Amino acid sequence: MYVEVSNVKKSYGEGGSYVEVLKGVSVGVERGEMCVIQGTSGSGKSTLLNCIGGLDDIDSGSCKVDGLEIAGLKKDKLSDYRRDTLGFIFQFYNLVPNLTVRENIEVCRYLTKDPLDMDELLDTLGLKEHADKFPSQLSGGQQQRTAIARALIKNPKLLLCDEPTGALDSKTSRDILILLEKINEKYGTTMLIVTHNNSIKNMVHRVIFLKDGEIAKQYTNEKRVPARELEDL
Amino acid sequence: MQKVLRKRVFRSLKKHFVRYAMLGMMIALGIFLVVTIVGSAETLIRGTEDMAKETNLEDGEFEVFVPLTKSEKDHIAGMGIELEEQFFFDQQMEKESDGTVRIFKVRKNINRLHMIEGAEPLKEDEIAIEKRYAEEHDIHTGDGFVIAGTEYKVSGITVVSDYDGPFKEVSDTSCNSKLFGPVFITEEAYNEFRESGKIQKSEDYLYTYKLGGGKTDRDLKDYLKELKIDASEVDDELFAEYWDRTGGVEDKLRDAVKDLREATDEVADAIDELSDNNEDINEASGKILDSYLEATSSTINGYGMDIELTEDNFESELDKLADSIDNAVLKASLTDVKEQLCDLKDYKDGLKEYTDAVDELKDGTAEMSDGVEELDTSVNDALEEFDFELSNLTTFLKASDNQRIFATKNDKIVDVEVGMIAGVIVFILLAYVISVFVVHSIESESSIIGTLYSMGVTKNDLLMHYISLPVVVTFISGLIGVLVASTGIMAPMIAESSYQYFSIAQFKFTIPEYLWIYSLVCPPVMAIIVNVLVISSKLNRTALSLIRNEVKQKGNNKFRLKGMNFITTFRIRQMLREMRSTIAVVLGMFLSLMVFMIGVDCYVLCNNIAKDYAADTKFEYMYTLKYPEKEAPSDAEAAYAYGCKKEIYGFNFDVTILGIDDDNPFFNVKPGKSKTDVIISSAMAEKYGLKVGDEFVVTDDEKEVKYAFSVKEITRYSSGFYIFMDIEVMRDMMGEAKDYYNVLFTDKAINIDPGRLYSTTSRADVVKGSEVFTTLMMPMIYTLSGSSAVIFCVVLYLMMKVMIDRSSQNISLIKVFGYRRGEIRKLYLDGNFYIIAIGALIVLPLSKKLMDLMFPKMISNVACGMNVETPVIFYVIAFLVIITLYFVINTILVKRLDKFTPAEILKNRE
Repeated sequence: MYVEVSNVKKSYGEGGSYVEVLKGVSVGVERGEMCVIQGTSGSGKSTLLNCIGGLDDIDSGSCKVDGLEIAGLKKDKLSDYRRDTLGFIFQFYNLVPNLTVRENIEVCRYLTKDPLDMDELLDTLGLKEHADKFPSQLSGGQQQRTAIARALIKNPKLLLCDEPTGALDSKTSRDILILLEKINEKYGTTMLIVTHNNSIKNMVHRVIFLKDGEIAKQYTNEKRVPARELEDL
Repeated sequence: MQKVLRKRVFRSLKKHFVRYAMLGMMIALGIFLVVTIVGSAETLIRGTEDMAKETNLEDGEFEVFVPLTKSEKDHIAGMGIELEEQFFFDQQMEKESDGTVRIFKVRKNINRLHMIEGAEPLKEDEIAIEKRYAEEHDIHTGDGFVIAGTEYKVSGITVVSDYDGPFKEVSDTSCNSKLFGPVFITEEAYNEFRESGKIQKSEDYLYTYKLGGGKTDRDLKDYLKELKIDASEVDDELFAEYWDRTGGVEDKLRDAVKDLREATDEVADAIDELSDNNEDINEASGKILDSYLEATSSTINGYGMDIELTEDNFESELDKLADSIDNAVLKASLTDVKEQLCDLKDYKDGLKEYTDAVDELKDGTAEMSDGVEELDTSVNDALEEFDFELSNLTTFLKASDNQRIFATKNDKIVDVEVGMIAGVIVFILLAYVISVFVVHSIESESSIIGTLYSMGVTKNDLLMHYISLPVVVTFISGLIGVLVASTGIMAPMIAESSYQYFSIAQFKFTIPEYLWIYSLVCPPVMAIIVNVLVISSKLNRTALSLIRNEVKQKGNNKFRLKGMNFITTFRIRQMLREMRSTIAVVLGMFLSLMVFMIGVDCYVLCNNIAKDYAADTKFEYMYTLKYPEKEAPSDAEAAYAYGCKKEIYGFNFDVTILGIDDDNPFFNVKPGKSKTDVIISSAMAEKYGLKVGDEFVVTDDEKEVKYAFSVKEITRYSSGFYIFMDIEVMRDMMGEAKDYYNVLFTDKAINIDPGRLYSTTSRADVVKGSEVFTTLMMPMIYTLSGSSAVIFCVVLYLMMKVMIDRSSQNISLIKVFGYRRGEIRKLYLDGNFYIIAIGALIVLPLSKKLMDLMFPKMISNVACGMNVETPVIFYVIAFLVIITLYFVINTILVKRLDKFTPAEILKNRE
């Protein structure tokens, strides 16, 4: 397994405000797989993503990525892990507002010695003519594509996407999903996608359902639907 | 709603406690410093003013040659002016290091003694010593004190308002209480001392006065100038000698002309008498010759020859007759007769010539007599033009022109000006810092504000909400600042140098009402103004725009940066994004440097004065003479000094017109022969902003005339406001004798009778006097430098912290991407180095230049040049200090970067 989460528990607060968000979650994702984590609000899907991304500590259990145990890693090592292994895509893009498209991508390009070709990536993502624009001058889809480009520039092995289409309309959402699919195919990037959208599960290799901090269901799609054919996005 | 919002105020305070604590601390510190500096100055100013009232400070004083008569004093009393005799002796103490004491009687009404300890002398063997002299010589109440062999017991230590600045002479550049101090004994003891014969120098007849009856100083002076005395009344041999040479020449001149006239008349009479006999003499000599000719003719006719001899033919007729006869005896007789007649003729002609000459002499004597008469008339007319009567008044000094009086007050006015200006500068800075905080708060709470708007909360409600915290914080900070200052915790340090220089009582540190108002009102009012201005514009956006927290790229951020590496690009973008904070940092640096530059200019000025005075003062001694000898000593350079006044910023300073020879070795000037084109000292040029070619006017209060000059040249001379002229031109201009002088410059001490001197100024005095400036100003210099460094650090810290806080989302974001602390520091903090470095390079000279322009006004009451030229090394050091402070703060703030966790980015959105 490329991503191997075993019996992970995570809680917040104390006393009356104590909440156990993950109650011994165990999942596994193979290298190159696209995986969707679905669940209702408060089910723990974002927390699980944060734990895998090394953004949050776990209380107990094990969380390995490419054989590296994330739990208990010191800050510096976690930083190294994120810069060497991960790419992040967020629902609200989180672009640096005072940097242009190109400069936003440069933020992550700076972190790797072997980045992808910037112009090729801009071209691939349809951002070439927008390279010198600022985020405020872009549409939501263009901004998300910029965020994807930023995540991809360092050619990460694992792409963590937190509601990547949550703020987009249907057509733009489809474009983004097509793009992700294309990237997965082209670069073999392992992807973990947290989403509310029920249709997305049809295009990925693996689907994990979380409910109240536990795995309610997980399965592998025998027959994936290409993103362009997805309905009700 | 307001109730709910009020709760948020406390939560906001809690959340941003460090920020508000720092801001509050800075306001409190600013208020504390302003109140301490200004309060200390005001304490001294008001204290000396109160003491002046309490001790009935004089309105002025004057000295006379001989004490005023009863009728003169009655006349002055009749004018409504109160007089008090405050005669004194200067007595050199036995030990040279004890200097000179000025012995006064205990004052009765004007300039009364204010006892610091002990009591006024009541017995003949008691004495009160002036405070500073007592301190310098470790004299205490109960000690013995010997003057010229007479032992007194110190009854107490005192201060007097007319020696607030205990200058020995009013023209002295500095006080030296080691070498001079007034002392006070009873009237009986004073009279006994006077009669004892121990006095070294004639008594000075000083009167102090208090105006009344609507009369002015001028009225009194005009009256006193009219009081004439006979020079012989003056009991001063040196004066008598001087008077004989100057004012006393009138009588000699009149006597000489009179003698000349009398002698001329006698000569004329004698010549008249002589010429009266001229006719008789000529007639008698003619008759003698004629009778001899007649007698000779009749003798010859007796021999039968018909010859008539006349004065014209007797020689030829006698020669012919002698040739015609052969008798040798007769021939010889004829020759003898002829010679006798020739002699007689010569005698007659001689007498004629003599009488003609006597007649001519008579005519000449008549002309001479007319001339002498004209001379007599002209001399009388000329002498009428001059006032050769001796005025009894020797000096007249209004209290406002007396540097001994209110010396402390005049010194401390600078502190008030400087303190208030420094306070204003700090408040402007704080206002901007608050605005940065407010903008940051509003931006970070944009969605909350938008939500509240959408719920019907009005702009005014929000305005009240957002200004309440800064107003409360600034008010409380101001209150803390002024309360801490009111304890007087730092006041002694500020005032110490004044107490160690001026002769004043110890005043209790008090804060004047206006400083309380200033401290409690200024900060909150400033906070209200700034917040209303800033918040209003921010709250003008629509509710939806606020909820979405729409980030618009401002025009100045839309630069396309190409060809730069990522780090540089990112830093530039970050600087542009944080332009407001960047400006605050640079403004903070600028304004704190302005405060610093006040201290720097004070220091540099004092330092330059000390250095320049030492360098520019070439003479070792300057003797100002009361009664100069006819001939200047050969080992001294004579000069002619004349005091005038020139006003600037409401202060009237002494300007000396100095007449010198071209070859005077103590001044590097060649004045030339012009009466109007003059050379001025650099101190004067700096103080009055004069340049070559400028025209200016000085006022002669004594003669009530003005002199207009044009600046021909400015010479490097820092110790005084001087106008240099050629001494001969100046004597002519001022109507003085061709050999007049009243100042001597020498390169070594020379022996001059002390009675001839007004004052002696040594180079050492000048240099020491200049160092006094530094001593007096140092506490304020330290305070200003220290506080400006604190202000700079706090502003830099707060603004860099705000920059970091505003970038917290982005910092979290890049942490998510795997950026390490060092890299984040490089992106978000290290870029500030360039802001600080470039800012410092611009702001350092700019703040100095601006302060140099403001500084002369701030110290407008100080009579010195304005050489605030600062060595380059100073800028280098200041720059390095700024950079060092930046690195210290940068290091502190690096830790703050760790507070932003990567997970933050998942909870919030930009």
